[in-house]
Amino acid sequence: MLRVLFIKPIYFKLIAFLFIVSISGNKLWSQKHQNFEAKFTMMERNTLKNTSMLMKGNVNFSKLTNTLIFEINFPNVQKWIVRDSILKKYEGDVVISESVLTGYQDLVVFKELLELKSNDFGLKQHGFEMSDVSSQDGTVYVQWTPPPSFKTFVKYVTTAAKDNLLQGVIFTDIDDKDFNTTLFEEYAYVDDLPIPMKIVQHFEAKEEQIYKTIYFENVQIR
Amino acid sequence: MYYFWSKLKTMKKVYILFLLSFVSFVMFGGNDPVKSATKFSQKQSEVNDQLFKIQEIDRILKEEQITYSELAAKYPDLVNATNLAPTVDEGIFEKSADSPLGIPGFWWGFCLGVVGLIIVYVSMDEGADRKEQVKNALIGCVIAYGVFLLFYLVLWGVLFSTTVDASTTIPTMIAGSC
Repeated sequence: MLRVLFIKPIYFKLIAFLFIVSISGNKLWSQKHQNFEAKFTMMERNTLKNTSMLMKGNVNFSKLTNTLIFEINFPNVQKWIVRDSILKKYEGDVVISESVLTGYQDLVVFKELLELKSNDFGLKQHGFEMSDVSSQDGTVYVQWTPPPSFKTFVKYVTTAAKDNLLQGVIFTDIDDKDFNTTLFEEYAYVDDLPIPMKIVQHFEAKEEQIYKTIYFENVQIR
Repeated sequence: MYYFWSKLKTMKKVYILFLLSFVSFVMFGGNDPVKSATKFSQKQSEVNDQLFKIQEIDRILKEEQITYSELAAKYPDLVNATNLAPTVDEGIFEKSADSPLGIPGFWWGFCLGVVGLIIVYVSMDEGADRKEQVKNALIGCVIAYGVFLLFYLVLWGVLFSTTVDASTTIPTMIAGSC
């Protein structure tokens, strides 16, 4: 599961983005819905490289075809289609690039396993053990100890849940540094499904210090 | 006898209290909830602070419905301050995870020509990344030679036109004066 966090940096941003988008669609598996569609705005800043990105467009995920489509309209117009771990980028009808997304299969598995209602980010299924529970103002904080295979780089994971909805996850490394944080905010119920309309993320590595926020609007689930 | 029973009851209460405290400590005490809550809210503020200027750009885009080039022309300070990417794809300028010295293959080829291309090829492990970076180095190499050739031609063009002008204008003047 955590391999998605340690993939080649060249793909990290993209996969992180796809992953985050997939979280919003994850509930589709457990329900009878087949399609997730939304307007999105993604803002990202890498403070170590002094680079920023603002991306706006529409995203569509189809369970039937297992296809993720991004219609990007800012900063430039492009269409991305992800199917069977292959990303094709289009400008108009012309394919401008085609690449295999390493780690995307992990992502799909993760996506299937993950359900926000489980409140544990799929950690339990991957051998993480609940080591501590605390509560404040209705939010339950759970600390998870990793299985032996993760212990070389993950010291513990903290999850926060309120009203049976996952609010956030923090991964802490063996040097007590929080290297990955994801927060799920502004839940809205669309067709009885809880969708986080704002997802905040911080990722820290040797050459990356990425701050990211994704907003969803006009979410439609069919 | 009464004393014994009351003492036992008190002991029982103390024991239950102790047991409850122990269980609640194990269940809820080890992980300080205030600390966890602070950690989550601090992260939230940290991300918001870092994205403040991009939020501002997003607000402008929503209000004015403009393209990237229009944004860059109208709000150059904001675009420069954030170093906002003009495209969603950084393409050939994107470096690979293990590209030599962290410099994208394109610039190796552009600056060092064939030598740069060889450096990229030799220093990277075999795989799709190397293939991509070597390709970028080759593009850099070709562009560098193209730029050099263009510069060379322009330079010769300027020198040649200056010579022609000199040889056509001056003799007439000289001839006129003679």
